[in-house]
Amino acid sequence: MWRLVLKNLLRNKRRSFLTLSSVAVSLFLLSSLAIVYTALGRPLANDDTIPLLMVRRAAGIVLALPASQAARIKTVPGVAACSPLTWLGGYWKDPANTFAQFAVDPEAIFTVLQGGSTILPDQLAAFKQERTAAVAGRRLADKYHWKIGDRITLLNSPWGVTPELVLRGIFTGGPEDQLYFHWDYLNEAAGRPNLVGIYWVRLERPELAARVGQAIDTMFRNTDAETKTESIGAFLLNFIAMLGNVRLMIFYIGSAVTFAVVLIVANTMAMSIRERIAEAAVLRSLGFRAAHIMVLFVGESLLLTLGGALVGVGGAKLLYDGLALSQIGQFVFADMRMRPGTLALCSSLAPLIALLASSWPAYRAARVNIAQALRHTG
Amino acid sequence: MAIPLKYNLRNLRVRWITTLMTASSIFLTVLVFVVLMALAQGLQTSLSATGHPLNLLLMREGSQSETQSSITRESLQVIRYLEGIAKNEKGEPRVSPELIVLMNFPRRGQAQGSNVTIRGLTPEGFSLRPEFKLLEGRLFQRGLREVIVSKRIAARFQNCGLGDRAKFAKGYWTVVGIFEVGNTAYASEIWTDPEDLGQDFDRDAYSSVFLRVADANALARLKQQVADDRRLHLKAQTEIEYYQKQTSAAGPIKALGIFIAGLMAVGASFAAMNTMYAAVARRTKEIGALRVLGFSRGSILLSFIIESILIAAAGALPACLASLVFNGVTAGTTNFATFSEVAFNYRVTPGLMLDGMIFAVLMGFVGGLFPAWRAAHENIVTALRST
Repeated sequence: MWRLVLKNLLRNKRRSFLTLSSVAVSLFLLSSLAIVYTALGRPLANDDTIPLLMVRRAAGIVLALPASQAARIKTVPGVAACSPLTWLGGYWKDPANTFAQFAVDPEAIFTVLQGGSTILPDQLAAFKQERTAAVAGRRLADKYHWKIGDRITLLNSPWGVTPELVLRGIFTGGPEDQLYFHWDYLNEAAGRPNLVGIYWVRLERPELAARVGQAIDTMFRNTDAETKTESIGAFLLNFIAMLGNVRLMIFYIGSAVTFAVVLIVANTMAMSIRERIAEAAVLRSLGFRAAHIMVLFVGESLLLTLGGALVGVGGAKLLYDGLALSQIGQFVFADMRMRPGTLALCSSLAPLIALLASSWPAYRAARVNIAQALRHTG
Repeated sequence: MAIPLKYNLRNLRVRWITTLMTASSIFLTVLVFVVLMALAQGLQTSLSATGHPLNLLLMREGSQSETQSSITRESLQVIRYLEGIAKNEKGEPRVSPELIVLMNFPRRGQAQGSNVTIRGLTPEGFSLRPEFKLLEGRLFQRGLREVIVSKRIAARFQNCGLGDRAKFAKGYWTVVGIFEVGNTAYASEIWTDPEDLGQDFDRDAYSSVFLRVADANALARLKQQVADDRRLHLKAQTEIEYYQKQTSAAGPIKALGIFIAGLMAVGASFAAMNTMYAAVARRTKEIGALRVLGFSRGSILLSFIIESILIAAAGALPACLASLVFNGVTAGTTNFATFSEVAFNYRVTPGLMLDGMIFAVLMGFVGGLFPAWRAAHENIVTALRST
């Protein structure tokens, strides 16, 4: 049966090729949209296995937290380490050279990043000792060709200070596009406002996330600086939400694309089936039943869409997994691999499209009066 | 001589199902394209239409936006007496010190919030924005924690309607008025008194200073004066320049729109190609007859290309009309340059609709070229003999 289906498809190679290519391109687009849609809903796929929490000001990310909260956070059971993370917002040499610069607690930061980032012990010790020391991720250091011992001056920070730092360490793994320096240095230079941006908390075990988060927020409720503690994924969602209702728009566009693909395949099948009404009648007079004819035609459209899905969805998976491996994505789009759920969804669209596109013409061709059909000249 | 258009139109009508399906896939492609471009256009217009040509904006040297900038009260005293500033009816310099605070408000219908710009400004600041119009209610008064909210923000955010009270900083603030400021970036802000704002957020200094220069000549001189003054550490740019720089947000959206529409166009062109190939195959005998009658290869080629373009146009025209449904719809996103909300309207312009039609014609042309070529180069005798 399938040999017959395949042979029929190969009769008009050009038509089959054009349709399959259309489906492939459209499914590639749909897969891309689906990947962005899921990434915007849940930026990190493996959120609940990461033992990290972000503590921010409940009233808004742009507002600061008092530095005094750090000591109290460390007393919460389940907290292994806590470091402030204060965004400097400057640039190096040229306004185009902007990257993440954070003032942190050097004693705690690498405990917080443990398991994700590694740094040589002597570099870490040097970082802890010198107040003007800084450490940078490997990727950042490579990008600007920094070496240990380089002076790095960060200009034009909204804080109104110009930190003059010395690079004492380069770490690998984790957020390699970031630079860390001493919070004490920033605080003194800025006139001791004693403010931090957010706190980065490391949990003893990932399962403690909900309990610790609640404990921290309860601790600061009804104070001047109420906090909201969330997982990294949820924290990223704050930024995504700022974009507006992008997911809805993506959904609409995705629907339009799906609809268009169904139309394209339906168009092909309608033409193809109409040309072969007489053939179908011959097959039926030979003894094939209506059901066989339907399977034949639906099978053709199924082969087309499956072939298109293989190229389109498969191509998307290869492309985006490859991009994710090379870590091009940052911040919100850090995890742009095609997740299994997305892959399954996009692949399952193929048989759906095939059915929608070909059922009606196939049904008609299978049920038409045989004598009339044999006379049909197209 | 060319084949009459009636021939193409009749054929499209006879094969109406396949014409409809092909045109529909083009309809969807053009619709997605026009709507995405309208989004980008609306965002860009809202940001770039801001600014009076004689308004200067002073910020701390090196700040990219007002939120990063800070100007002390002492500096303000120096600024007020610079040369070249226009004077109001009372003879005072038209200088408006302003304080910017970003506050997170929840959008209507969304759990997560977004940053909205709260601007503290004096009545002089109002006069610097000629498009300002109070729609409902009244202006705020000092000392009472009162705000006025722009129409777009009131529509899109919770607790921002007339009479609503919102809690932020140290107390409850009341919305006493709704205003609009044309289609400028200020149309996404909340305005209040700068002293009230400063007290509640413990801010001693201002963010920025707006001023009106006396005339165009004074503009360049004043800019230079500010740049040269070593006490101030400020930079001056025209209001228009400042907002122009923020329009880069629209760029990525346009690129995305072109990417999506481009991929959809490939699919739609292939569908058109399929349709036209089938049409040519079906009408081989007719083509032979037309050649015998004396129509040249060129006219056959042209005829089939035109037929393909007609299908595309049939899909694109309703798409352009449908896109008008979006025109004027208000949406909002975060302007990452100022890190706060910018509300804008989708803008479907005649130019954009024309772009959509041209896009469709292109798809039709690409789809119809190869089949038309095949039709034009049919051998006459074999064509006449075909069934």
